Amino acid sequence: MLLTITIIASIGFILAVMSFITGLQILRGNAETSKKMHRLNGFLAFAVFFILAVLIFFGKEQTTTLLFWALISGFILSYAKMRVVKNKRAYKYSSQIGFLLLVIWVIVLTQIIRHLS
Amino acid sequence: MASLFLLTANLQAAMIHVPSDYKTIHESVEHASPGDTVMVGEGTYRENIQITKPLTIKSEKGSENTIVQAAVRKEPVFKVLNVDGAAITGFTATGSDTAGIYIRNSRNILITDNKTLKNDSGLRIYNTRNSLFRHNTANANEQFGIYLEASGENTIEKNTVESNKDKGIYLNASHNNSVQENSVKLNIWNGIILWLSNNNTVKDNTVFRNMYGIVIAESKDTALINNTNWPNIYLILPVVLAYLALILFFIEQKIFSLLEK
Repeated sequence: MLLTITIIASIGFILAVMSFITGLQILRGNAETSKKMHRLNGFLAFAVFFILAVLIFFGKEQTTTLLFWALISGFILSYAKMRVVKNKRAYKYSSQIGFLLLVIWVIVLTQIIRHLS
Repeated sequence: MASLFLLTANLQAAMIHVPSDYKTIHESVEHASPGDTVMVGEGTYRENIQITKPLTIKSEKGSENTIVQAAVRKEPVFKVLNVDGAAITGFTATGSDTAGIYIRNSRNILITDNKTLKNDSGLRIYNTRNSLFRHNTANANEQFGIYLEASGENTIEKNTVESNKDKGIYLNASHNNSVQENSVKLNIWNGIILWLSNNNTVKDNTVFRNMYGIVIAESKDTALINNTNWPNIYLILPVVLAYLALILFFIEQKIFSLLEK
């Protein structure tokens, strides 16, 4: 189970980094293809994040406080990101939220490797 | 003549049961004669036990079921002083601000199948010779898992030393010891450290994910044989995965541009 969680977290982290890179591409103006890639990677990363959270919250492994709050913050930031990209006035904050999501992924991954596996 | 003496000694050696003969372990140790065996039944005992004569202290049901918590936190759970030939087997020793098992000025000591958890240190051994520390678990202690100072000709083997907040196995000014087949993982600082310690053998140990694996400082003639040493992957893995993500990003970009054509 611990190995499964570590592998899932690793896949999620890769997708989050890919999503972050495509987000930077959008900022540089490489529009349509990057947008599609960003959306795909973002949704896949969120799906993996959701599975990971279910496995950790409802699994037998003891969660660290930092991991618990990182997962909760991840959900809040993902929701905020989805709202922000649809709102024209708040769109300028999407890159900051994207960066924070990547930070959350780093915390989640390191906490899982260090304390669970 | 010698065998006759041993036979007489064995005949005289008694078996004391805790809690049926005495309610506490330290009471039974006080009343035991050299060579006796104290057999401890399952349960949780709150006491500090000092051993100053050659005794065997064993649990009936193993370390999982026989837990000794330090009654006085600043004292060790088990303290062995000036003894030639004692054994402690099958206990969980916890809750001491000194050590789970503390041995000083002794020789021919056998420490096996114990768990020393959440103490200042798991095992602290000073000026002790010709002793065997085998199949013990020293986890989640505030400082060291197993600490030896000024001790020689000891064997530390097949122990599990994990998640201690400083060092896993620490040999300080200790010579001619053998550290072998131990599993030393996830200690915050060094996995195994030899400091001012000469002629030691470090063999067949698994040293995973400590800050530094095996550290040898100011020590001579150490035999390092067939140890497995992995770094702390929580520092490396995110970097490796980020590189992998970059490569996958380029592949994905190619796929998307091919699809759009």
